[in-house]
Amino acid sequence: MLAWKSVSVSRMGQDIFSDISLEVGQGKIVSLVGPSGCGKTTLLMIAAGLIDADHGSLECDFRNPAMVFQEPRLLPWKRAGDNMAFGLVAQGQRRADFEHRIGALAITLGLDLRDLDKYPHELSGGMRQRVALGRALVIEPDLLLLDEPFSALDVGLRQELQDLLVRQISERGLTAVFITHDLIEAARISDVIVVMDQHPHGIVYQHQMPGTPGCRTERDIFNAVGDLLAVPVVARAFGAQDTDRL
Amino acid sequence: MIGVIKGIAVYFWSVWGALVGLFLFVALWETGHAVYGDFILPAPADAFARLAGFIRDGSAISASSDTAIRAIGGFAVSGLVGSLVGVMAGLSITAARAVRPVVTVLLGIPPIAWIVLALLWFGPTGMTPMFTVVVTSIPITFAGAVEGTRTLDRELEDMARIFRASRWRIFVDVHLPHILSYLFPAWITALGMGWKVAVMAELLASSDGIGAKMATARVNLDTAATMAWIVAVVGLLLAVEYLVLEPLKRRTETWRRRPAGQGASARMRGM
Repeated sequence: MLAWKSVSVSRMGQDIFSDISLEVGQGKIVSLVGPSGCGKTTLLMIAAGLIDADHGSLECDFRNPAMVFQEPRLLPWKRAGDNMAFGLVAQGQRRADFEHRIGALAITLGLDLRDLDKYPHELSGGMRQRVALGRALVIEPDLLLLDEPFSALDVGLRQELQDLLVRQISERGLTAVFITHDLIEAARISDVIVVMDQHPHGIVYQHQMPGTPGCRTERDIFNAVGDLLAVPVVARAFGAQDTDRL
Repeated sequence: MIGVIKGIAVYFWSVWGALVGLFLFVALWETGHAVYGDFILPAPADAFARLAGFIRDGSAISASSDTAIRAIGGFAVSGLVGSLVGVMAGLSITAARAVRPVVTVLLGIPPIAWIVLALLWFGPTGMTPMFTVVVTSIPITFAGAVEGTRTLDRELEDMARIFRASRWRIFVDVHLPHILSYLFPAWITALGMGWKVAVMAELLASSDGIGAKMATARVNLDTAATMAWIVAVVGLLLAVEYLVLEPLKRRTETWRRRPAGQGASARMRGM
């Protein structure tokens, strides 16, 4: 289980959020949606252990978390294959033991084995993000933290990678926290949608999605988004111009 | 294995472009000789013949090795000290603030002033050129190290920490390659400058080395010998840079190499 217990964070005297509590159940995919600046990423950073909350606490039973960022964050001086192996090498595993695992996972993620010998600058944006996804999945994490991993990709590619991700998460029985500002994306791939708004509102709405992530029809997804936006607090969080964009 | 041979072949092929420039330069020199005559600008062939003579009688080897030891020795000291201190200064904002004006002052003092000081401190020994090389090139390596350290990517570091990389691994895999990409151009600049400063210091304050030989040639109004020694200095510099530093740089920076000609332009910026 992963739970934030009435956590507060402020930076330079300004509250980012205060007194937020949220629980993520075992094997669930939870989407955090909301406008930028509402503290989604900060919540994720706390879960990742990169920053500490000023008040409150984090309860985390997961031993092996992995994270995918908005940017691929690959090491430019390492080949794609070595980038994918970064987490394994950091754990002290030996190359001979994981070489075949990297190759197999790369193919599952739609990478060519030859791509593994290339440097990041030689790969397209989509390929780089696949490598970043591979770097997270290859350590066989029990918790996957995703900070808008597909927002920089174009629509077709985004959906392909969403499907890929959901399949990997369900096959491995992972728990995942997924940040996005795209309600449709959230409705497509999550079990629970958590809507956040700017401080001081915090978490304003939680919605349990029916059905299984990755198996919903487009109609169900759009209906769910429509129903969500009909809730006043959700509509406020997304603001008028965001509603137009959807 | 085949890859290595291919790499060497590609490297030497890329030298052709550089050779074209060199030959153009020699042609220009020949033109200058045709216009101004033997005394002002001796023919390249004469200068090369004099150099061959110096090589045969052994004076070229001994003078070059004296100069090389001073230039490379001074460069090694400044590369090591400047880079280490620079990295430490880059890690702490306060240290960087404290050291920056010192570097500006060091950069502002002309090399000739250092030569005078060194001459007073060490006399006409080999220490004078070496000391001058160290003090004039340390600001360059220092500045490169500070820049490299100050621009470290926090996001990559966060990524590495999430994957539970040890401090040592973060340093080796995340920080060091980035810092080196700033240090290499600085080292190349420092070495090039060290060479010139060493010759200048020898000319004014030493009884051996290429600079001292040039001083003798000047006293004898022997322009051909002067040109021969210039060719020797430039040849040594090119050899060190193309045979040692450039291959090293290519090896460590394959990750940023673009196809076609990028190495040459990067080199020019480095100078």
